[in-house]
Amino acid sequence: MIRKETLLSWPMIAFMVLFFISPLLLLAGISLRGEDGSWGLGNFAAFLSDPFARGVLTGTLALGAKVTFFVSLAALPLVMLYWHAGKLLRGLILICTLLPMLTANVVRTFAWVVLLGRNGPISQTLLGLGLTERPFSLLFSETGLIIALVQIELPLLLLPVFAVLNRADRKTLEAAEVLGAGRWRAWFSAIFPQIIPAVLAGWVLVFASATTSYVTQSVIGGARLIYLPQFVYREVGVLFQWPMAAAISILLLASTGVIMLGLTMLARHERLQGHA
Amino acid sequence: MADTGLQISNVDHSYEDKQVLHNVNFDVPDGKVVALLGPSGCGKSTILRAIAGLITPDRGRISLQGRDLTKVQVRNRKLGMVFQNFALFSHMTVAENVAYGLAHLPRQERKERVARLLELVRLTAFANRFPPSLSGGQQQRVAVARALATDPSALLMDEPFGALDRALRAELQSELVRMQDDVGITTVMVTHDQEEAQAVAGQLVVMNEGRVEQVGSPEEIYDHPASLFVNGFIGHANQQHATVTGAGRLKTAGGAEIAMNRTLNYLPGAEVIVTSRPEDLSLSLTEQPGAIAARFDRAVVMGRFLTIDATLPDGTAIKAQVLRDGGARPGKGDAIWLIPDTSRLHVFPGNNQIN
Repeated sequence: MIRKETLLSWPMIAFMVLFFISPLLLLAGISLRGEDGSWGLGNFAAFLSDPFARGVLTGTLALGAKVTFFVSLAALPLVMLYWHAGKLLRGLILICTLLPMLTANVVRTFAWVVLLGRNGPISQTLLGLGLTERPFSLLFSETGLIIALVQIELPLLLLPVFAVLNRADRKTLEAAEVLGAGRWRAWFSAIFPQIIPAVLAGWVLVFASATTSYVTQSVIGGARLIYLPQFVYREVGVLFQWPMAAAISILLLASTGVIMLGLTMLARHERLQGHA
Repeated sequence: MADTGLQISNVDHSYEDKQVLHNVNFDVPDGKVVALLGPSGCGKSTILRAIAGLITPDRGRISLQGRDLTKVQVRNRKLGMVFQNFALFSHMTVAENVAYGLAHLPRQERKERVARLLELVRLTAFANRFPPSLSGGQQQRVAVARALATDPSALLMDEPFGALDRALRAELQSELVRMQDDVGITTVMVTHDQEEAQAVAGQLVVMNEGRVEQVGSPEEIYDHPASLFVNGFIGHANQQHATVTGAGRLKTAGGAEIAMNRTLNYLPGAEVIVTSRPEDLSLSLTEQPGAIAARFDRAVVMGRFLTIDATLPDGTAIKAQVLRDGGARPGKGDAIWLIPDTSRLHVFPGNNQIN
């Protein structure tokens, strides 16, 4: 039964089926194909029984978790600032948040290569302050990668939260204050619950984006820090193991998918219904 | 200064360049309900927010039981407040909402307190529900219970019935009066609805354009309005331009000569506005001395009464409410005469516009 109202969405649905759903199904199909031409879960078993590969999988998920955690940490003061800011400052914060997004991910990544390098400002400043004895490089380390990813993914968390803060209900905050709550308790019981759905949405975006950011991972992480996207690339581009690459992609999709599903379910919690 | 009740003295406040409160003064005696009444934008909510401490007035003093509140922070004022849209915490259950202000109490005492308050507002069965799943009236009762839970020294209510439909409002108003009798808490309520103010409060503070126009009981304000604004705002008031012709004598713009039964504090020749309540006019189909000539427009039956709409010769509308009798009713455009009860006419200076 085709309803008139849905007619306009049909081109998009057709496009998605043709260029997203079907390749994905194709990918799933390929992943089930063994080296000897047989069908089965052999590729998955091979991947999961290889300790190195398992390490890459858990390392990738851990990277996503760490980046999400530090993005939240970095976002909190900005969210607080945005909440207390007047109209002008809010506009300024918003522009500063959006501006980096107008630059390509590759450009931002290479900017971080300069900043994190041995002769970059971070190393030189710490050296000048006498906090370190010799220049150091944060490149090719997970610390450096996390720093870069936090900056790159930060807007994905900030933007949905800012959108909610713009129309947040201040009366509840006043009610909390009249009831004797201190500033922090009042904020966390009146405003924070309103932004939780936006925070969960932001976490989904940050996590998915951090675990799959091939460019940043490979440029800043280098050849020694391997995450799943590079692993897939190696299987395809170097080893020409298409079925294995497909299996790894499906695993990456499934593991991030499960986490995203979990966060989405959390947003549907009864306690959050008033803020949807 | 007395050490009881809530006292508002000489409060001024401005938002940016606009002064919204002009020298506001009124007292709320201990345990009494006072309603701040006025049209929207008259500053009544601003005064309530100043009492709560949500804004700091530019000048003036707010004291409660002799304690100056002006410098006390919001959270230390120990007041209860019910907000217009109730401002409940929608991620907390009804019981958690009520317990919010009781964080300092030991668990057991807190539980007992919450149970007692939920009983007071008859919501015990809803303790574990979340506010979005409750009706407007139930949410309002949660807000009241939450505000009363901390045992505040005064209760502030900002349009507490504004978000409810009409039928529910009357029910909750009498509920509030019942609860007020039980608890006996000093209460300030903001409303733009005069019926609501009269139903709940023993004392009204009528405000207009940031000024207090009159403070008094509903009877005082209805029977002896201090200004033309109060006269027109509380109940209906017919207004007519008139000129003072002698001691206690007026001539209206329409030509009616009215002899008041009292002297007026106006010099002969002064321009005044004379006002009458619809129920203080009686209808006559023949010319009478002291009667106001008008043209009949329509009559509406209101139970035992007949509400008559008529037009004065100068085009001003006039309303009269008379007891229905079996007599003939005039037709549209007929000449009628309205006889005022001169003891209940009010006279105000005429230099302001009729509105």
